[in-house]
Amino acid sequence: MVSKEKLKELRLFAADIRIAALEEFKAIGVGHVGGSMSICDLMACLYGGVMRIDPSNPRWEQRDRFIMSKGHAGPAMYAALALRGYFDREELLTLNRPGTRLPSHTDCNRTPGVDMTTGSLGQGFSTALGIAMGCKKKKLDSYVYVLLGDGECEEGQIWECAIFAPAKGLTNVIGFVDYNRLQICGTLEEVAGLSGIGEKFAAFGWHVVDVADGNDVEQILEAIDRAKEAADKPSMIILNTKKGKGCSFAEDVFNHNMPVSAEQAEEAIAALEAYKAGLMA
Amino acid sequence: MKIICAKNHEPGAREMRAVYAQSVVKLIEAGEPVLVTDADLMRAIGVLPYKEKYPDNIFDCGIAESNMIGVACGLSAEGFIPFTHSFGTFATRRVMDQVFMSGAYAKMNVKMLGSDPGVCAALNGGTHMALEDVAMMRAIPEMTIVEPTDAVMVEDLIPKIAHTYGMFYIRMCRGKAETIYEEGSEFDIGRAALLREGGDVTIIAAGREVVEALQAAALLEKEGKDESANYEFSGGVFSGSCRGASGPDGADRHTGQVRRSRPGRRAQGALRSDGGGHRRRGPEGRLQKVKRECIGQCPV
Repeated sequence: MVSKEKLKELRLFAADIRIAALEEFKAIGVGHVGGSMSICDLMACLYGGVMRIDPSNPRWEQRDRFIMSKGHAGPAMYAALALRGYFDREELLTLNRPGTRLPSHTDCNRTPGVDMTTGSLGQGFSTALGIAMGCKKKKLDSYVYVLLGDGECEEGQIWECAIFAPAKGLTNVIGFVDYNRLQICGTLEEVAGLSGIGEKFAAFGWHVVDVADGNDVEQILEAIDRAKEAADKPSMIILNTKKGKGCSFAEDVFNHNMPVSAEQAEEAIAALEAYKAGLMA
Repeated sequence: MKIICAKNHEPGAREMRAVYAQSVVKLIEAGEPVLVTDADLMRAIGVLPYKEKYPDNIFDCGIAESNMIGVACGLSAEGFIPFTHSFGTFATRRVMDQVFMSGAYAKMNVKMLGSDPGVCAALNGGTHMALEDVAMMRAIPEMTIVEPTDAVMVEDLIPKIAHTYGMFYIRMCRGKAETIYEEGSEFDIGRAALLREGGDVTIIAAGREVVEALQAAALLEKEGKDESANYEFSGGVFSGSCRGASGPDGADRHTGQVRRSRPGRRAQGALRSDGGGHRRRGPEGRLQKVKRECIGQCPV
């Protein structure tokens, strides 16, 4: 049972991640807002206590690994990393600028705390499984967390991974699907007819945990606990999220990759600050 | 680099695949962090008999080449040295984006074997003939292409490839290849060997083409161009290797920089300036550099 204090801390952390990500988008004026905002609560859980990490030693051998297979949500990850001290928060304002260490999609050779280069959908999942296999071979007790987009699950490579992980006993893998049901050209069902992602993973031999509200840190933490209990299988946690969650100008509009004006960003940040004040009251 | 040319070019006693399998297994037995994986073609490449004995090092990914490359890249990130294998077509065309992004762009350390490239696919037909694999892999700045010529070269190069960090594409036929080098020959990745001296025509060849090139030289000799020179690149025909091997400094193999600049152009340039039909006015100095590496002359 997680304490109320801890939950409050994580909710505040999630709001801070959203604010920091919005500052990134504001600085460059455009970005993958929707899919970044939808996962900020997961980022808060992972980087706010779930993962065994040492920000002063990003390559620490004993660390838990995280692979952002939906690489376009890099800005949310960068926000969490900066707030945890992997690098200065000011660096967030260099997102996508020439020479930045924070490219649009995550890059393990540029950014402290990024474990694998991603961006071409489907590939991060395979590399995560290789990392998980490597950890097992090295007898490390690290967990390997990997985040998939729901639209990403249209890639065939995802289902090659779905076969591979249970077959190879990669019980140290805990995956997440950001199931916000929207992709660039419409809903998942409209674009390619993909549905029932959780059922599909279960059929492939995964331990599947369905999270009714994937933007609720309490439910996310509970799901991760349940995933760890199922020690005989890799786990896939289905996070039913809202694309653009917590960002006043992005919810309920096309938000995959959108322009962000300074006014919009400031307004959204003010709303998040007000939400934080409410939490602290 | 120590080249001992074989007296005749009879097919070798050992199949290339058997030597490959033995070479990677030897690395495993030496305790190296080498892993060998495949897309359901272990039987075809001769690794299958070792799988049971080394289950921690040898595993199958199934007919899922994209995942295989990704898994290998992840293992590389954890410090392992994975060797992957499929037929040349599926080792390159099918997984180009995985090789590029998860492997080369991420600066990983995966050794990818593509077997039976080009016409070596033989009875498997046109669908299985990788004729564009070199062109594709060459376009990737971080990639080194190696095309072993015979069993002696496979045996010598596999440990060197394992011990050289970076992405490698190894293309070779599975069966017996004509013996070009005697046992005891040693090769450098990216360094050319001069197999036959001459001044009229320069032929640059790699892999299976080497024996063909030597035969072509013999034909040319009969026609009156009696001084042909055959080069073979132990590092393959890759641009950087090619230039490094035949450039002004024969020892220059800092191919990474060269490749990153303009790979295609470098390759063409290298071939033009050093092999493009030069006659007496050919780059003598460059030839001299390479000559010193060769301690034997191939019979024609």
